[in-house]
Amino acid sequence: MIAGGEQTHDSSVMDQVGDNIIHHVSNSSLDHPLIHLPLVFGIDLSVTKHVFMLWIVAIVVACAIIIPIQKYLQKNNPVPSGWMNLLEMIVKFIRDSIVKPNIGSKYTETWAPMILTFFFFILFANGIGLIPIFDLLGVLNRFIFQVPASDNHNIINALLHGGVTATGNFNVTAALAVITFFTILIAGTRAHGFINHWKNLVPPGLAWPVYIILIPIEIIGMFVKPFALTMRLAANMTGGHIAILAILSFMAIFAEMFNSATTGMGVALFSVPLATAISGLEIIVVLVQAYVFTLLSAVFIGMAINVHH
Amino acid sequence: MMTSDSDNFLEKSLQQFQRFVRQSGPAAAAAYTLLASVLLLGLFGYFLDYYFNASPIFLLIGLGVGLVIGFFELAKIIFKK
Repeated sequence: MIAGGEQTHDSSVMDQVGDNIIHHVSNSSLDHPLIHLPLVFGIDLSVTKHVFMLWIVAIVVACAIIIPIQKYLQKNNPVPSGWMNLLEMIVKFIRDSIVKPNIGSKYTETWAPMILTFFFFILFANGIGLIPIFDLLGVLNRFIFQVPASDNHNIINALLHGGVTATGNFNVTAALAVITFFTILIAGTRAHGFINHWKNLVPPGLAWPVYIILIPIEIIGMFVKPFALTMRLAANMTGGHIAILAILSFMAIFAEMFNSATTGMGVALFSVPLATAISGLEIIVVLVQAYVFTLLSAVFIGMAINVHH
Repeated sequence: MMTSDSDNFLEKSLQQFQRFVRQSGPAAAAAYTLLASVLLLGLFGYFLDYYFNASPIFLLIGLGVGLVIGFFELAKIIFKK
């Protein structure tokens, strides 16, 4: 917890540990932006850690997915090999197992690219969050280059504030869910027309008092779906990281409680393997969360297209 | 022969996995929608309580309405033809 060195030394470990964990999973505050930008209509547009991570994810997705596929498609007689083989397998799996059964064959080609974009973007954003790039740079910065933690002009010190998992930020997942929300509206409108899409919200032929109850329920239900997507992804991505940091904090907590470094090292025998095991589990979580977000998006889009009452 | 058996096993496993994926979609949607509606309406009620200083009236109403909407969405997915 390299950035945690700035904290006061008169408070106990127990007082500091909660703040330290939150500091390592949340976005960097606007007091420590990576790039200062002016206020626009009262909104601070400064680049924070999670915005920076989103840029990195976009570059990685472009390099690992978009560019290889474009190059592959430009070939005269394309035969997939190596990386393209794996990509083809993933694309086929998502198209045939997620998009087609939920959205239907007619609109598979229309919505599969968007679902695939979601999958790869979330997969890479989750995956990059597992790699401790900036912590490693921080260790080198502090112990090899001897840069103090108080040096606010040092770019690596600035990068140590905040967590690296952009998808653990509710604003990021809310933005992704807003895209799904508008996709549901557009998909329904394309399939049935504007008026019919809204008519499809409630089943026809019911007594009018039922509609008084049913219409508000359906309208609130429209907003519940993207809310489910927002909360689920961000909470799952944050939860794993908090668990790892909390387990690692046991070392410092027990060392302080018994006023003995040996106790801390003894607890390390339990907490380090456990944190390593949870990190292994996080690799599965990275895949599962990307998959569940795309699956739910496909189900919600499919519900707007294939209306059954 | 060994390769053929293992290929067959892998193919069957993948097909089974694909089948699970297809079936799990609506179930996952139903579960998360139920949870999210209770959470969203509960939060909305909590903030209304805070704003009107009427704790816990709006929170309870929010949770109740959230449950109704959640179960309605659940029923819609379960009883889909």
